[in-house]
Amino acid sequence: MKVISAGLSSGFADQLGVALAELGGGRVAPGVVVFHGAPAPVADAMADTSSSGVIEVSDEEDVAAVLDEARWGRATGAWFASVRSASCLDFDFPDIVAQGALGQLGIAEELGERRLQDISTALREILVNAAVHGNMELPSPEKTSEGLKAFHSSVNARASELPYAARRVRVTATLRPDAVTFAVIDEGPGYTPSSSDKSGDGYTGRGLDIVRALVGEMRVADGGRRTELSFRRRVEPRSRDTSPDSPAGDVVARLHGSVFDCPILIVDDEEILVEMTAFQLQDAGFKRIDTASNGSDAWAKINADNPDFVILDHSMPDMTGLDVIAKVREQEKTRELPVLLVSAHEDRAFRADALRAGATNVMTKPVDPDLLIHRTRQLLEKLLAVRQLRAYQRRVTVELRQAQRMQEELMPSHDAMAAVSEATGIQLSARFQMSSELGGDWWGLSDFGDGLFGLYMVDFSGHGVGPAINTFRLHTLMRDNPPPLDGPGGYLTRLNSRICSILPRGQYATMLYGIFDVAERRFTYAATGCPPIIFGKADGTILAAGETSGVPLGLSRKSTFEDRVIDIPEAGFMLLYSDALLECPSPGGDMLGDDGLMKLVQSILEVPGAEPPLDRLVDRFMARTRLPLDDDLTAVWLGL
Amino acid sequence: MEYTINEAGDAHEVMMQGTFGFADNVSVEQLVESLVDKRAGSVVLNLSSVEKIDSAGLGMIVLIKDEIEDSGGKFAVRGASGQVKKMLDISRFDQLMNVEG
Repeated sequence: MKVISAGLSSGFADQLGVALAELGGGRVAPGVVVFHGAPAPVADAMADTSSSGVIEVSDEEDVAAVLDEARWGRATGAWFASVRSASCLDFDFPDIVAQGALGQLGIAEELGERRLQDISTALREILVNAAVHGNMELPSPEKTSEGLKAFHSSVNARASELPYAARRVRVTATLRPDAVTFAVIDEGPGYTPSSSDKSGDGYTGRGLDIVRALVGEMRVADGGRRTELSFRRRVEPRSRDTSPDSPAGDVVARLHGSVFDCPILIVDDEEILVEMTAFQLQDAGFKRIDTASNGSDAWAKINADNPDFVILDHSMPDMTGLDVIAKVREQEKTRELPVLLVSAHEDRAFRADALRAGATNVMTKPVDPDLLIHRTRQLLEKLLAVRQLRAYQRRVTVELRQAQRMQEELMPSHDAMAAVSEATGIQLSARFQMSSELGGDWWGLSDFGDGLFGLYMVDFSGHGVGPAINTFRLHTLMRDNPPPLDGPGGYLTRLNSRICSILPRGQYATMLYGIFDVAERRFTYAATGCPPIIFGKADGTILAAGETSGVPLGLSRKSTFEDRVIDIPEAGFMLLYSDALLECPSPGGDMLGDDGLMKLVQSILEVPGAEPPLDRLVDRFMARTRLPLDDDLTAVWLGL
Repeated sequence: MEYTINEAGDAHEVMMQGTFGFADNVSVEQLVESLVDKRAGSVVLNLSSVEKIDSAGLGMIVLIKDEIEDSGGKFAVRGASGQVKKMLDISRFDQLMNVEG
């Protein structure tokens, strides 16, 4: 790499050199030149370096921006070059860009000389269009016939004037699992041809047709100021991954790569066989192949290099293939490593023994190369698929756990419940059981003091992530509109009109909000289609159901809700619950239903136990119900 | 691009060298002028020493052909290899003119 520092302070030029070297990890493409934009030094620089691959920099701020961009590019697997528009006409430039980019991205060998030439040819066409008029969608004039001479001279006149002359044209290359994409970006003002430019024969050049014939896909954007050329890589469709963003780490990177990137270890004491097998696999496209000549060497390499696949000969002097497999299967980190055992034994008994001992697959010598390649691919594809699923599962599990904790924090804590119990003398207990990691149930308390507290319970339709998000929506809404001391019906009416504008169509919630007056033993509440409130005497002698019908929240803006009242008997109780208690079926498919629940409550109360009644009720319910639950269960018990 | 012309009677072989592209307008005009002046009966463009060509270069080959044929001569290209051959193939030059190996 050559850094020309004309016009830059020497300290800054050094910095720039260091940064660029760092950037490429010592692999900055040859011919990349940096220079200051003053006309005389530029001309000298061009003469000095035959103007190949130029990063044009006009001031120190610009350099910083270029470097930022470059760092960004490296982090995401992209490479870039940037030129003064005029040097786009240089025949060498597309070669240097293509070579530099593919080298940086580590796929030069994979694509091979011929593809490199195609990329260079296509880039050349696009860069010429950029250099000539700044509209890459427009072909360059091909023939110097009369009509075109006018176009030519108008192009020339424009090209000799700022800002056309000093445009910056950037080329970036981005690696994806199935393709490498080059973007050519003209940072100039662009160019819209006038009708006179279009006249004349031969105007429709063949350049763009050539490009289309060479690339996998071509896209033009920004009025011809941006062109993207995608060149397909040799990747098997089945191992292709569509997500371009992958977390760091070698193994995770391998997840998104192809079977051809997986490291393979070939083990045989016969050198010629190792070489042949290695050659066959390389020829089939596998790029990371290592070899070992005996069992202990293989064992050491398996531990040191973590190969993804081992092709293992059975008959070796120090350790047999089966000995190696035994060690591999004993050790946690290698337990699932696919091992293909190759053996001269033809009998079925040996094959069965080998599979039982942990060989993933067994092949008999002499091995058919096509079959070996096929098996190798098959086993590696399976490995990659399992890895990918596991990584996905790990990520989702962690995220769901986090969300679950957040949702649990919405519910009243033990301390909050104990505080209300202590202040009012009411025994408060609650059970909460989600059917999956996240749920659509939610309940809460608000203590108004003076023996008054509010209690609400919500059940969003469905269960899982969607309804869980709705509980957060409602939580936010209720934080801004806190439950009032009285008028629960009016409160639900107001909440409903607001939530109608938030909830997507088809999603709704049942909700109950009430204010408990301890001195009066009176619960004043409103409800929107919840299961009936069960209340009565704690010895089970009197039991009744409180009316809770109403239009669920979120279904109609016009819904209004009325206040209702329950008077709890002395030494009484009240049970609020979500409909899971009524509707979750037993293994035989029976649901408890209103009557069943009432009977269950009665049987709990008639036989006093050491445990709180709610715990006994829910435990009995769980014992008769098919698990996991079909729906989220919430139950709150107030004992007077 | 640089060129030399080998003459044998009224047959002319134009030996082209280097890269052939957008910037070669002027030298192509000169070449056409001198061939037409010579009243060349047949012209072969020998491309074996051309390393690279772009679409503008292809367009200029067509221009040379048109000018030669308009003045009553015969035209062919010869010896393309590598990138140049691929470009001729993609653009189906075999259907436009006589392409020799």
